[in-house]
Amino acid sequence: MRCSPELLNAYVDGELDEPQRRLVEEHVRRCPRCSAEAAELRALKTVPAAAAAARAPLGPDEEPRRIAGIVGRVRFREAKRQRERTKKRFWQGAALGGAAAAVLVGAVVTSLTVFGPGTPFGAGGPDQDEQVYAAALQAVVAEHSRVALLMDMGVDDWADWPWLGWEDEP
Amino acid sequence: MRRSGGGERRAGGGRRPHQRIQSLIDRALTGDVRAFETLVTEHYGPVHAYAARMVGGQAAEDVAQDVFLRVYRSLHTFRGDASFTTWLFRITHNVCNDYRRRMQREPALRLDGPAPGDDTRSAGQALAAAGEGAGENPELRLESLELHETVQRALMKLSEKHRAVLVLHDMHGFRYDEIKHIVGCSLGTVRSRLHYARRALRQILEEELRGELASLLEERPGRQGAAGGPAPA
Ligand SMILES: [Zn+2]
Repeated sequence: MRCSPELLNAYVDGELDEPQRRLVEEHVRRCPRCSAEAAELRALKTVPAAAAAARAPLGPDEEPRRIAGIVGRVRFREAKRQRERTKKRFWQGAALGGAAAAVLVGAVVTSLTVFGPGTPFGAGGPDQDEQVYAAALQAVVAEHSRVALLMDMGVDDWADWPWLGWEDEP
Repeated sequence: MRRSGGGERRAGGGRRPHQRIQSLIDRALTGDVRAFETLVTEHYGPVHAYAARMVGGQAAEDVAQDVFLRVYRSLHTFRGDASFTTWLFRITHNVCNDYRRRMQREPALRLDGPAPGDDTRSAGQALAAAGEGAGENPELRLESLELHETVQRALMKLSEKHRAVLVLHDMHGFRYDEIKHIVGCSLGTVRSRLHYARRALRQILEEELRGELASLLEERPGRQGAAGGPAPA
């Protein structure tokens, strides 16, 4: 074989397969230039290795501080993700609750229509008013329990949620 | 000898850390931040060191942070068939490249400081920070820090592609086929880049150290006979 600096590097690094390695070894034995070069490469390799070993270490608190910085961000992200999950579960719950409320409203409307169209509210007599109030009360209770559920789930900013609309209503 | 730089990436773990690492990854994937913290703690040093060598000490902290945040985001894409360290260094390598590209587009963002290669601190400051140096002779310590800085300056004069393979091989102890994955090139390219990188490094060190290189090369321990093949790892 002819002199090949690339193969020589790989040879010095122990990165040749056995047949190739034997070939280069044989060449190095006969070629004074490659023999000298191989020796020099071995020596040269130790310079970056020694420099790596001599790497100025980070200060005593510096590495833990940096790691804490990274982990802190991940923790924050993880907490946020957890909350997203909770919210999603909540919205799914809210959708179910909404369906129940629709049934309730449907019941009220039905009860009103029983007394005929155009009947003004209250005209159905005390019985009917009571029914409507009971329905409203039930809705409020449902709302309350939903908030309680939210709080149990650790959702602490439920009050900011516009759909609750409590700020707007007296 | 061929693994002289290898200690830096083999943090925490025996010969087969795969299973342990995999279980840490599995736990991190379920949101166990502590498991992720262990992964970071065990790999921060080498990642930061590689970043410092590739983009300079000033930016290395930002780059290392970016690396681990990316790792967290993409943990689910890690496949056990690559070693975790190789995968991690591939990300590190890419983040370094992104950083450099960004700096080229918007040089104003560049953290001002001395020459791009310089580590954050001077040898003196680093010596003071490393403090008591664990009872080491301060003169020796300073000398080794000077060596570190000399090499770092020389590295920064290499092209990025040459620097990457040389740093990965001679300083972090990766093998050619691992470097191939990290850098994303062929084995032949790794080989030829390494050859050119060493040739260039030699030339730069020669200029930098004038006549001293010869004696530096002589003094390095671990030098082997000329004709003997590499000792089996
Ligand atoms: Zn030859």
